[in-house]
Amino acid sequence: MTLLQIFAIAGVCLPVVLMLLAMLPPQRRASPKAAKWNRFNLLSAAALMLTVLAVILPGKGHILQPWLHPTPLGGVLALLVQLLGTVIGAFSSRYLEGEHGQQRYISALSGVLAAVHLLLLADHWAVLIVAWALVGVALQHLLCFYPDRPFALLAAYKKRIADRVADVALLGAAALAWNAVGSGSFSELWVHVAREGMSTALHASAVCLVLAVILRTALLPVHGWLLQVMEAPTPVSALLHAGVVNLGGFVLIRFAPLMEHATFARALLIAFGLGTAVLAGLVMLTRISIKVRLAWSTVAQMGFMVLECGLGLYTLAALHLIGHSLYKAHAFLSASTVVRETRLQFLRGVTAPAPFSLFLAPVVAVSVVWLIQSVANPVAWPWWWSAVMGLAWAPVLWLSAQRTGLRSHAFQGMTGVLMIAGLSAAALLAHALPLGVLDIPQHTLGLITLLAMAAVYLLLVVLQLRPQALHAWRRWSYAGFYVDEIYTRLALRLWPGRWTPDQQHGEKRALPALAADERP
Amino acid sequence: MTISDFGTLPIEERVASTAPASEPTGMAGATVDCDSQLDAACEQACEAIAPAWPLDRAIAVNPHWSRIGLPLRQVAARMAVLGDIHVFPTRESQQQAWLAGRISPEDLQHALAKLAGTTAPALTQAQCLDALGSAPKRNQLPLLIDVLDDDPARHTRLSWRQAITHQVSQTCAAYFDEQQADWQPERFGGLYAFWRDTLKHDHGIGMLMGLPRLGHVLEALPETWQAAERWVLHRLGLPRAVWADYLESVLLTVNGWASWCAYLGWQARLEGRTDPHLRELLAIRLAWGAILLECKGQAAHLQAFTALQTEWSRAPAVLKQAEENLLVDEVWQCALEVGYQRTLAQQLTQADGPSPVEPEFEVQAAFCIDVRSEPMRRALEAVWPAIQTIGFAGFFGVPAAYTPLATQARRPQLPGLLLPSVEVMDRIVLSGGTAESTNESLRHSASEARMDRFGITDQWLAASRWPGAAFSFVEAAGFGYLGKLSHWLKPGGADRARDDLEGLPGRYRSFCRPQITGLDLQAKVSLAAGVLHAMGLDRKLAPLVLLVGHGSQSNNNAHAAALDCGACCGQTGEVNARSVAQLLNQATVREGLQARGICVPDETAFVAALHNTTTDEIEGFDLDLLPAAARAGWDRLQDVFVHACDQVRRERASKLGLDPRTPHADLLDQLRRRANDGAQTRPEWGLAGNASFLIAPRDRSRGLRLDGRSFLHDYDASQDADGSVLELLMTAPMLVTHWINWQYHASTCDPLHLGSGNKVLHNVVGGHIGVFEGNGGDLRIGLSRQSLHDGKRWVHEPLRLTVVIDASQQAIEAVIRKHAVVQQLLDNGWLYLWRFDPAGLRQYELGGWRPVMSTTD
Repeated sequence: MTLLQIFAIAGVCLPVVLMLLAMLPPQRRASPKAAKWNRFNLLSAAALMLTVLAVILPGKGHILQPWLHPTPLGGVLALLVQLLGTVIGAFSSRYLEGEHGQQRYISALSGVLAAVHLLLLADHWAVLIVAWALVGVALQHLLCFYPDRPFALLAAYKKRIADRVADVALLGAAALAWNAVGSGSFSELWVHVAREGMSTALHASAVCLVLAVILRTALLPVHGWLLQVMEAPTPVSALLHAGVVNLGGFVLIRFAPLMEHATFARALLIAFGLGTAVLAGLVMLTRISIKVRLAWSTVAQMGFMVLECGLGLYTLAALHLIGHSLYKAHAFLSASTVVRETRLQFLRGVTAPAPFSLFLAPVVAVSVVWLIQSVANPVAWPWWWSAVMGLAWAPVLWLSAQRTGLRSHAFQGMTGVLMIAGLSAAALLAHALPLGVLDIPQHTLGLITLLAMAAVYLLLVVLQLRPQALHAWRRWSYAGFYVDEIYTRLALRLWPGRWTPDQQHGEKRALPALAADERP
Repeated sequence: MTISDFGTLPIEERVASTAPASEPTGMAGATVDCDSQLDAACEQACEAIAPAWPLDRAIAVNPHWSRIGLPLRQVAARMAVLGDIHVFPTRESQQQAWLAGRISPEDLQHALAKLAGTTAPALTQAQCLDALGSAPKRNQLPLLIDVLDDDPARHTRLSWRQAITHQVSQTCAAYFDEQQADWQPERFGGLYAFWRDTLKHDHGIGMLMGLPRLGHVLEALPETWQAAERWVLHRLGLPRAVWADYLESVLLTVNGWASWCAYLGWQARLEGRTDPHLRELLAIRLAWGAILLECKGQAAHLQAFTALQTEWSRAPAVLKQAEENLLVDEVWQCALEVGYQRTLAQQLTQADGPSPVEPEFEVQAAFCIDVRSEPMRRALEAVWPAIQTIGFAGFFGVPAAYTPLATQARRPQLPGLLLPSVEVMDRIVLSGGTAESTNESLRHSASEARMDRFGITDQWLAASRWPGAAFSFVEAAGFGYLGKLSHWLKPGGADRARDDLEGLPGRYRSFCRPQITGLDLQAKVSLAAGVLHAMGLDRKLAPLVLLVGHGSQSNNNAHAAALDCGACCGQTGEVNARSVAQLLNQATVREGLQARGICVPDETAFVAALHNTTTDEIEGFDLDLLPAAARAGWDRLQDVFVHACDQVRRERASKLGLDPRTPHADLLDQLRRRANDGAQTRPEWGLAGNASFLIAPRDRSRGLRLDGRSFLHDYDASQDADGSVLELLMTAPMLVTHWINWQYHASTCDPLHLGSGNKVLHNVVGGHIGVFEGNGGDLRIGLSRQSLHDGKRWVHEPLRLTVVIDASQQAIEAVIRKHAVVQQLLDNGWLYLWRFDPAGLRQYELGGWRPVMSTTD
């Protein structure tokens, strides 16, 4: 074993060990809170450094097979999650000052980080299933940080149900694949698929896997718990939205060799992904509190990420996973800044877009993205994806109806074009990162996606021009399309949950039979 | 309106008109028109709700403000019976105070003696101690929704009371939010119509609440809120005498939103309008009861009515019993105050008093009356005796509304009791004396540049605001958030953010100055004269006069405005201080003042400054406009500031968990980082600990270590022959300090109903309206737990304000007689009033004066 190998293995395994170490309460129980946090912060920083090793020394850890196999993307994500864990830990150490149960919090946070790390290294069904289940188990303690809050318990309970069903789906996927391949190793599964193609069993396995991902990624209709975890401290939301709920995306990217020919499974991904992205995106627009808006935004974003996986745009899905993590972790931690942002918005005033620009904007935006892409790297992604991006950023080119005049509109138009060009260039640059991911675009499904995104844009145009025309739609959006109500009702009927939270009065309580994202 | 119009307060009539709620209507009810009686009952219930200002204008309010017409203990009883709300400190906390020796046996004895003459049966010390071990008896009267909520499965779901609060709360949020949701609802026909429409089109709620007939029942829902009120109240069949109480109890189930509606009503009243939202909310909440009733079917009707009528016919007895039960809590409340008051009285009698020769001051500095000014003033005077400090309301007497450059964001910069009458706008004024036309053209180009930048910001935000945009945005720009995330690891030490200059190019920033506009010279001179007179600065001016406003510095803090200046409506005092200083420095204004007999010496210069209450630094403004001599004077002051500020920081350090022995620069650095720390839930303690208000010359308090617990307002009775200034002080600053005092009191004593809960769960509603704790529930008002509690103990002690006035008995009594509000506050035990008497301190009690700290003589 060379020195490099030792380093690489240390980089892969030690972070997990360090985080497991961080779970243990300190020897002296009476040690001050600050000391507990210092210990966590130190261990977390050390784990972060070691993960860097794992990223810069890829492919040296093959002796860990068949259980673990560090991939470049897995390494980058491990780095990302450990970084988020470190930031969230540092944040929490000050934010939770004076709260009870901080050691419990530290242990659960460390547990989540260790389990996520393990999942990102998994090269075997057994490791994947166990690690993913452990993420959920550790997370439960964070979601129920305030055990006397009924909605926290309800959200955790709904998450538990989804997790257990996902476990069953995953076990099914594993059994089918293992039986077909004769081994639980992923590497051998890829070899098998490349050599012998897809069998019915493998198709079924892929579908089971997709179901597990949908359940764990909080796509519609099982998104409810994600919206209700406002009942836990803010940094828990940051961790959950940035480093846990998106793991399904990683798993899908990891399983690209299997998914490539699993047509039915991919169709499922597109259906759930696209449906969630569009519906949750519309619900997000109606939300009246900052954290619930952010939560719905995550649901929509997860839908989009799964959609990209279904389309075979794995590099973009990976970028989405990373970018969204960073963005959403920051957005949650700074959620209370919204009051200041509202003040600044009062200063800027409200501007309505000039109607003509609503129609001109997508044309210009798509042209700009397409131009930048064809100059820089025409093969980065298919043409229809450039159109999706152009539609996405078209609102940047909506010109103000208040600040009219040639100079003003020319200035705004120029700024908008520069922003879109900049965003496109940034996307291309990020796309060139060596994540070790291969895209397998699916063109027919891509066109369907483009049509759907065009429809969303049209809806936004109508929303700007004649919001009253969408009055009935808004009601449905505001109601979250009643999806969570039905799910909650059904889930509680199938698995009637009774439990006794640590209530001060010792009074026994059962699950509130109400879903509550923002509605009773 | 100028400062002298303070007396004409809108609340005056309101409180006076609020009849005691439980007054029986008797047999006369039969002849009185039922509808008008119903209307009066609804109005009375709505009047009982105090307003809650939005987060970006957060000022402290006594949540019981509209109830001060009743004795404190009676209000406490009503709150317990109608809303399960605690008004007095919890027995648990009193027990801790007793065990820790904070309340001594003498304190308790004193309190018992003081309350011996009250209506309730007398208590003994042993009985008081016994009571500490047990929680007060809960005796809340049920509402219709409670008696209907009787099915055996009710423990397996949320109670209807909670579910209804949640539904009403969400509907209110959707209706009142204008900032958060990008997809706004149609709001035709007002709040009630909006709620009715929402509910009728809700396909999920019937299923969730287990009410399959709901859709059918909703058909019967009246179309207007007036009809809904009648529909429900007539069906209930409650005795008319308890209508108003029942309705208040109903409103208390959505007290947060009721307080928001009361705020809208308050603003409307200031502007001479009326606002129906609170009545609509009441109708909504009432209608829910009737809806559930319909859903339950005929058999349940009778049962529910009977139960309700039985319970509520007992209401007068229950209230009386509750009032008696609470006597012991009032005794303990009093005992807690006695200890503080004894120290205060000792201190006040030991003060230096006026010096025999009137000293010549080199600098005068007017500070806000805020309790955080007290340590700073003390430190400045200690470091440099040639400075005279003055306490005055931090808006400096300018009832201003301020509009930042090139925006429509006009906002009040004055106490919430008043309507602005002076406009302050930004102008660009270069350092050297430049022509007016140059300044005007600069203002134009600065406005253009600012609007361009605003446009760019809006465009950039559009890239992540809409659903499609945000998806692709994170892929392209997500990595950019790495830098932002790193800020959470270790906060920097940046200066206070200047949000009012946001978007203004750097080259204009230091020349952009808020100025009073729209007043002709005569009006300006009148304003200036009024301000100087009220501050006692219309004679003997020092060469340098500082007007020191205050503001806090915190990051990622939804309640930041609550730490800023309450007299400036939750803003910093910068705008007021700067606009007044510039006004008083104008040569033409000074000439006008001269003509009115107020001499401002030529060498005197006014300087606006801001006391950063988080870092305890003092920052000056518009220094480039000062004459050379004044500038040199300011520069000389810097050394004084360094030492005085350091002293204040050391004094505050241990309360913040910092080491007071840290070297000067390190301590400042730690506080600056704390101010910039977005993970810090306790950037500073704000006004926690406030307990007394001195209206007296500084001689009465100079040199006393009042621990940042006292509001200080300068007042010289010898310059106030007609008592008009005293009247102003007792009807404006005294009410404001009472509001602050009671907000802290209420949020400490009942954090659940009158505090906003745990900051780490806060979820801002509508961008600035308020917060939910967690997913939903009612809108939360008041202060968060973190603002009052350090994790181990309450930092704020719930004491009623002790107001100490240095004026003659006749002058004080004249004000009390003239103003019902003041009379009520005193007679009903909402605050204490002391006065300096040649023979010692005297306390006002039911029309008479008795020596402070003596018991029944």
